[in-house]
Amino acid sequence: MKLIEDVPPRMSFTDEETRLLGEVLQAVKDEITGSDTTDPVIERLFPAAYDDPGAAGAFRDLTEGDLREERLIRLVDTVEELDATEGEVPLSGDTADRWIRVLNDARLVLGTRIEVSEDWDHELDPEDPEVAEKAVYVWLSAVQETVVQSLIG
Amino acid sequence: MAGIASPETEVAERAAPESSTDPDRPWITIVWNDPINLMSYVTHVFMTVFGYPKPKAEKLMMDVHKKGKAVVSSGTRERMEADVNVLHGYGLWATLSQDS
Repeated sequence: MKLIEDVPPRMSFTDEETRLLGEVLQAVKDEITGSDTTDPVIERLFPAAYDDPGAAGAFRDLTEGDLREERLIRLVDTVEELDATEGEVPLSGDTADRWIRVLNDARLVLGTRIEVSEDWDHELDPEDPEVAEKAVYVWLSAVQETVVQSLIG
Repeated sequence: MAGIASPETEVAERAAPESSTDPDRPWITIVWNDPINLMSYVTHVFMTVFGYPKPKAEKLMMDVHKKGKAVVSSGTRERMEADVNVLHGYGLWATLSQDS
C-alpha cells in the first residue's frame, strides 16, 4: 500500500493487495460472527472489563452485542469501500478512523491466532509453517502504521 | 506493544479484586500492555478518545509499554464503564476498578 499525498490523502493498494485484504477481512468477519466463546480471539476482541467474573459477565451482557455489531458494520463498510474504489481509498476523518480500527481488528484476530509475542521483531523465517500468516500480519502492521502516522503527524 | 523493537520481560500484576465499595474512592480505567497493538495506534487512541494532547498520550502509552499498564482516566463508575467500552471498541485491553 502506498499513501498518496493528496487532499485528503489516499491509500493506493495494488490489485494483489486488494484481493488479499478482501480475504483477510472476510476471515475477520467469520471470526467475529462465530459463537465460540472459548475462542481466544473472541476473548481478545471482547476482553473482561473487571477482575471479578460476576461484574465482568454483567458488563459483557450489556456491551458485547453492540460492540460486535459496530465491528461488523465497520468491516462491511470497509470491504464495500475497497471494492467500490478498486483499492484507491481516500482517507477523510471518519474513513481514516474506521480503517485503522478495522486494520487493528484484523491484526488482533491474526496476531492472536499466530500467538504474536512481545519479543518478535517481525522477522520472517521461510521454514516457519506459519510464515504466510506472519507475512500478512507484518504487512497489515505496516499499512496500519502508515495510516496512523499520517493522522498523528 | 509492538512498534519500536524493545523486548519487555516484566509482567504486570492484575489489580486485586475489590474488597469494599467505598463511595468516596474514585474509579479508574486501566489499559494493559499487549503484544499486538502498535505504539503509535495506542497514542492515537488516547488522543482521540480522551482528547489528550500528544505528549500526554505518548507518556501514557510508554507507561503501558514499559510498566505493563497505565491509569488513563478516573471518575464515576458509570463514566469509567463508558471509557472501557469505547477502548474495547478500539481493540485496547482495558479494565476498570476502584482506586485503592
